[in-house]
Amino acid sequence: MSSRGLTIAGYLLVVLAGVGLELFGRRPESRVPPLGAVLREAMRSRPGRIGVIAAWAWIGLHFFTL
Amino acid sequence: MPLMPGPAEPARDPLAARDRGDRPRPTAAATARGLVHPVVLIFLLAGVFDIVAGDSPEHWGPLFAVAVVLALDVARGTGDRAAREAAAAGTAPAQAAPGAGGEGTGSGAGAAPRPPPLHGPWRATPALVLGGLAYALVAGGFGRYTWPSTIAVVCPAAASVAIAWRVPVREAARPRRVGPLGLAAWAAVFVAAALWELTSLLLQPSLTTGSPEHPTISVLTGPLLASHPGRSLVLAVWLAGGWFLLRR
Repeated sequence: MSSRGLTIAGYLLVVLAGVGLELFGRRPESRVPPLGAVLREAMRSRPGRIGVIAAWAWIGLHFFTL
Repeated sequence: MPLMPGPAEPARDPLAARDRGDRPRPTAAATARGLVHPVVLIFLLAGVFDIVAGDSPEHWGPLFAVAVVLALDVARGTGDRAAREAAAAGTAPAQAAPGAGGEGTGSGAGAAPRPPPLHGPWRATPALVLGGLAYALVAGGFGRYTWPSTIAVVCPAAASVAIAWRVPVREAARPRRVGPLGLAAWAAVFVAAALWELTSLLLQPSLTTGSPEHPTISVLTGPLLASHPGRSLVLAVWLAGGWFLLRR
């Protein structure tokens, strides 16, 4: 496998891990929460909420703005 | 001699001043404590990496700005005070949102579900969805790294951060629902993604030169963001992500 293929496979692996965790977390009685619950937990505090929203905003800035 | 302050005369009552949101100036020690808050440290670290990666000041500047303002906010201790007081009193304030949009992890037993703080105009109404799609369609027509594109992205981004800043957080009184195992599992995924991206960045010919052999996420998304439909798609997803977060 080329370096490029290996790099892309790494990203796909991370994405698949996230999707798998989300599906696992949606099962009843699962000890792993879905991503939405984790984000809500992180956003319970003011710094956490502002931090998460600012991180989302920065993604837009990074890919589109001057 | 006036017995009561008139409409043009500000009230001098300290309680009224507190209600108006007047805040004491933080001390140097309190500011230092704010600077070591985990969220502040994450933003400082992200800003440093953004500089090292050769990004422009327009991109790393906001990271440091958020870090500094958050540090001052933490130093003042205003953000979570109401939440701590409510938690100590054992009462959920009026805007607490137990079970809002819950995904089956359970909410406080016996507590009636309440809407999240931003429930009103943020419900997924047809008008909101159509507005978002129209925004993505129009904004996607602007080339990347141009002034129109900048304005189109900065406006919703700044508005969302301002909303997040203004709405009081009063949810600490809710019972904690995410255990350490769940947090660790998700943290592992995000840390793995960050480390893989960092590895690709370090394997480039230089930090500012993209490599097709070791592509970063920015390099991989380049072809998608080169076309109008691709930009519109990404902007629609980005906007939906912001809406999703504002409803947390």
